[in-house]
Amino acid sequence: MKKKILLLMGCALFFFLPFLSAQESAPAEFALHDTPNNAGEQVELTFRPLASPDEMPAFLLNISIGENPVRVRRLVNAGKLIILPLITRQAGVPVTVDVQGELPDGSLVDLGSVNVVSKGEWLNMNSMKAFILGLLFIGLIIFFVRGAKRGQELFIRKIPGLEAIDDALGRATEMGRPVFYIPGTSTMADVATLASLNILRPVARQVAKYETPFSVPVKDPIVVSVAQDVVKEAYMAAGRPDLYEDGIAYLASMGQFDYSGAVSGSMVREKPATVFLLGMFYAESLILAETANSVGAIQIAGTDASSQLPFFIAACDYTLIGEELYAASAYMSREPLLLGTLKAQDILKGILLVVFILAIILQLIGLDFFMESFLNPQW
Amino acid sequence: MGMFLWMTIALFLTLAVFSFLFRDNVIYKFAEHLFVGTSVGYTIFVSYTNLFLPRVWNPFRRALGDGDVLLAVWLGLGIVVGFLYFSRFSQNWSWVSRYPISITVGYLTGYSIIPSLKARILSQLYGTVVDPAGDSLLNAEKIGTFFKHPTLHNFFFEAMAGPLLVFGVFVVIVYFFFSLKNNNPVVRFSRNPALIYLMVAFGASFGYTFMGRISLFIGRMNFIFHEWWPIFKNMVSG
Repeated sequence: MKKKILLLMGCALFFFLPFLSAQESAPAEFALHDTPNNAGEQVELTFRPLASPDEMPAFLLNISIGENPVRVRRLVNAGKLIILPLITRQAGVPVTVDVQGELPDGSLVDLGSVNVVSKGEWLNMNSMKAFILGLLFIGLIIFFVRGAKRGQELFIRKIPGLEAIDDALGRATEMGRPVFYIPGTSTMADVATLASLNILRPVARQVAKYETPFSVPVKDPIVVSVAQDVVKEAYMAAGRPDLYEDGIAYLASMGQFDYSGAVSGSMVREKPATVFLLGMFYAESLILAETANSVGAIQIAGTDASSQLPFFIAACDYTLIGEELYAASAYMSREPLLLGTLKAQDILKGILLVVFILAIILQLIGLDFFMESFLNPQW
Repeated sequence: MGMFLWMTIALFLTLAVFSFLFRDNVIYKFAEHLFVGTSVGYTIFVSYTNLFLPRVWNPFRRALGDGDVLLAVWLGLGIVVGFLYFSRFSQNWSWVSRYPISITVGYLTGYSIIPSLKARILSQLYGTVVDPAGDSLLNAEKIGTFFKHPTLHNFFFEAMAGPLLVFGVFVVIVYFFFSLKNNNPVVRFSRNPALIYLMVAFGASFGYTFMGRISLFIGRMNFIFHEWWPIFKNMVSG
């Protein structure tokens, strides 16, 4: 008898279970949580519709962030998970989202609300791997710079474009025509600009020694200040401070194409014998290189902008490709700081190549953990 | 009429700039100087209204008004450091301008270390070992697919795409080793393949950008023949 009752109850449960679960299942799952690894400027709403679009075609989110007025956002039910970032701008801001479901007849039903307070973290763990790599790199730089300062010989192979610099400057002197040096069109934040200004020093020293007219048209006001200092120091180092004037390095213009227009105009009028195009360039690279070519100048170009290198290779006599620009600044200046950095860079490249080969082998034999644990840019 | 006048000025300036293709001339010089002057003036005005006022001066005044001393001191310090740039106008004090320069360069360089390492090294390395779908680039299955269905598409886009990329990255990195002598066997072996890879990449980039420039030229021609010319024709025909 007891067994029969249990059997009956079981059957009833089996029969009614789908209805019970259907009644209990919510039309959507949603949660609000603080976005990790930031200063508290964002929280995230994860929203997954469970009801079919026929049952509930859309959802309304009433979003309240801090003291801002409530914002209503309508989500069409596509049956997919949606992650909605909500900007709080700072930590400690309460965020509340009231969710309503829209029925086919247009009426609304409350589905509940979620809230969270934005939190800030001291550390962005997503950048931890890059941080460790950065520490390793800085350690290598310090090691090699110290070595270079102690007089250790750091070998750098010859870079073909650099061998031509002396000839190009000599040609300008013989022809009595000026030398143009364009240190790119970017700001001081660009490594290529820094490398270019390092090359500017020995070039300016040589120009001062040969008493050749020199012109450094610049696009960025801060780069102008630095370029003026670099040229001034170089002229003094060459023992010709009398030849220096502030107008050698000048602000040609601050916009991209007006700068290239102004420099092209100067090239056509002054007809330089040698043009250096070293630094970061954008779409103006071909305009400058072609104009220099049209006035018969020898051009020595170099940039780490891979999209502009083709134009320099096509239009210039010598081109420093990518990292050769950085190497050139170390090669020419022989400064321990630059030599040490270049050496550290090479060692880091070697380490990365070994890691690269190791990762490929492990990946080939199906061991994904190495890639995911050590090489995935997100920790 | 006003619109036509501005469009005609735009047409004149377009043709003035194109006249440089013939040779340097007074019309080009006029357009060049106008462009440079307008651009510098515009940049100064935009920097003042879009940067200095909303990011520095207004928050500074607001912080003073709200009694937020710490914020006001920070912003005030920024303003003072920024004004040190003007010391370049004095011969005796021009050295002071090195302080804002060093602060700017130091901050921007330090700030870019981690993003550069993430974007230029870690992401590139990861993307050279696995494809966006998460499969290994040296995928034996894809090579097998080619042998089952030997087509050109399967050869270039399935079997060889990954190995070519991996090999290319390897030889190009070796090409940019500056510590090894030119007669080093690894450098000697990788030099020619690396140059071929680089030139193929540059050639593709050249073609792509060239098409972009042609589209800019077509844009100017469209302006002349499809925007300015119909209005001009309507005006002439009354």
